[in-house]
Amino acid sequence: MTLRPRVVCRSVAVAAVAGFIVMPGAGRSGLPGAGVVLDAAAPVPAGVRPQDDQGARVTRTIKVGPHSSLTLSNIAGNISVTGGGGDAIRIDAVKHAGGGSAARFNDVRVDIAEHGNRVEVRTLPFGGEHSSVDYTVTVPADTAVYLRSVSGNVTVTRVQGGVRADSVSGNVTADATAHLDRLRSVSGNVDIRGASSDTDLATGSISGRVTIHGLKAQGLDVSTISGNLTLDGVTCDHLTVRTVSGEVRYAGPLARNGRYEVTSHSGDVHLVLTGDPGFELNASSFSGDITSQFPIAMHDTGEDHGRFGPLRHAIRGTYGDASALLTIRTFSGNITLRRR
Amino acid sequence: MTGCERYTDLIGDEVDGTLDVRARPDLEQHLAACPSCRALLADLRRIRAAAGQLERLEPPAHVWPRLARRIEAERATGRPGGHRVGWLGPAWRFGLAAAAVVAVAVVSGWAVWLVDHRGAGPAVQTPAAVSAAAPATAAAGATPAAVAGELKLAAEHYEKAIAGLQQIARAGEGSLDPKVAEALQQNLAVIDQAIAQSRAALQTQPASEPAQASLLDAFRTKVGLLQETIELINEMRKGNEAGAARIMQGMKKS
Repeated sequence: MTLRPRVVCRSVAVAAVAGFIVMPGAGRSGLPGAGVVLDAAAPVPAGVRPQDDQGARVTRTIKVGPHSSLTLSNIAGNISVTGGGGDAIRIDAVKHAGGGSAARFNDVRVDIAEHGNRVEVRTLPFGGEHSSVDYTVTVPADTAVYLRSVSGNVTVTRVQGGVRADSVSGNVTADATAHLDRLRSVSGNVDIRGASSDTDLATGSISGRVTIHGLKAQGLDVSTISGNLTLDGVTCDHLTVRTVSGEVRYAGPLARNGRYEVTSHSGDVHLVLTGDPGFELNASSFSGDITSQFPIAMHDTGEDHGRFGPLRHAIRGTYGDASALLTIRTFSGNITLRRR
Repeated sequence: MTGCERYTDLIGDEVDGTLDVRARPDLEQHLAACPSCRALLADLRRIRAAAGQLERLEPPAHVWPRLARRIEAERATGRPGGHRVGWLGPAWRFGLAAAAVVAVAVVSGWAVWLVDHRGAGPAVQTPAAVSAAAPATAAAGATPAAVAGELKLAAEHYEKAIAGLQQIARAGEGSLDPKVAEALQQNLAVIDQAIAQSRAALQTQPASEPAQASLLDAFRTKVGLLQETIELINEMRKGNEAGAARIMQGMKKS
């Protein structure tokens, strides 16, 4: 079955300008577990004309079954996805056509397609240079969402299905999500709050900062080139943090038998450990200082360590039951370990 | 532009010279009507040509068995190049030149060899673990001169791989939004600074394990960033997203 994307605009006038196909009464049958409820076309709001830079609204509600998925690819504009109750994915897209020309609404098109329990939404450019689309989407709590934006922020809130979100130049935020899989940005920031992942979470940015407040994951892989990394209240069995010049701040417990590896070239590394962690520490730096509030039973240390030459700064030893393995290395960044 | 997705694999096959003859008429008909796919085909051909000019890298013979195991492991896990986070998905099929991939695999394999000859490394030598293991595993089986020599060779191969990747990236940098391109360039400069600092440290302390590890780390990070840059370029050129850069540029002007 080939399904044509269907778009309903609140404004028939705008739809005509935008060249959209308006399909009235568009309930769809014959597809198990899915159906379509189209919002009634709304009138043009008073005082808003198509040529105003107010945008044309595209609204669509699609009934889905359990464990549905949403894939949304945007070019310019923000994406906000919120999980909740219900059995439908509701998409509210607002087009913004810069330049004050009604014709620019035609520069961008919202394409919505259903494939069984899977919904795909795309922004399609048609030669415009000023158009953007802001998406506000609500999904059933167990829906998996895959979101991509070139230029625009991506925000995911209370989604309990799998979450992948990427942006090139926008910020990416996940709040109260249960199954984070990947969050990435190239130049934007990444923020994670009150989230969890039952697998390994990969996240990072190249130049943006990464901030995590409250995360429970099996494994966490975080990287930046120049962005700072703040990991607060993170619980995971294995952690890998890599940066070149970013500053690393980790505050949280160490899991028994956990493995934690932090590598930075010039950024400082600060670890504030909660609870009563036992760990084996292998910390080294070429020129950075290493300080620890924990009394480390040294294996060896200092100037004479190293078969092929001296390490200016190194601590290798254990604390407590040494159950966790903690490896920290910098070139010029300082390393500090503190208790909370 | 509608329906371009189903031609992307065919375009890849055409570039690779493996296009099924039965599929050719359909592809040619589509290309005749679709300027976006024609542009994509031209871009991929240019990238492939650039990749073909990369110098062939030949690691020592003893590296190959380990390298083969490494490649096999990456194939099994589906994670080429481990250190790279790979934010944009499987764009390798598209345009990321095979030669560059091989080059990266070669230097990664070399780094594994280097670490192993410094001493006992981790039981599983993942790419991420390679350089991290280096400073902590000083030891048996190799002289300082041998390690320094191997480090130098590894650095040379990284530099060649980086040069090839940079060549590919430059060929397509026009596809990127200027602000993003600037951010990428700034971060490449950050890595270059890390490389320079590590090199300077090794001038004064050739046997410094942290300096050696930092140099290898910086090389690997630069390779990873260039790979991501090329993936991003490829992604921006695919299908409808070919217009993304134009739109973004327009937004910056407005």
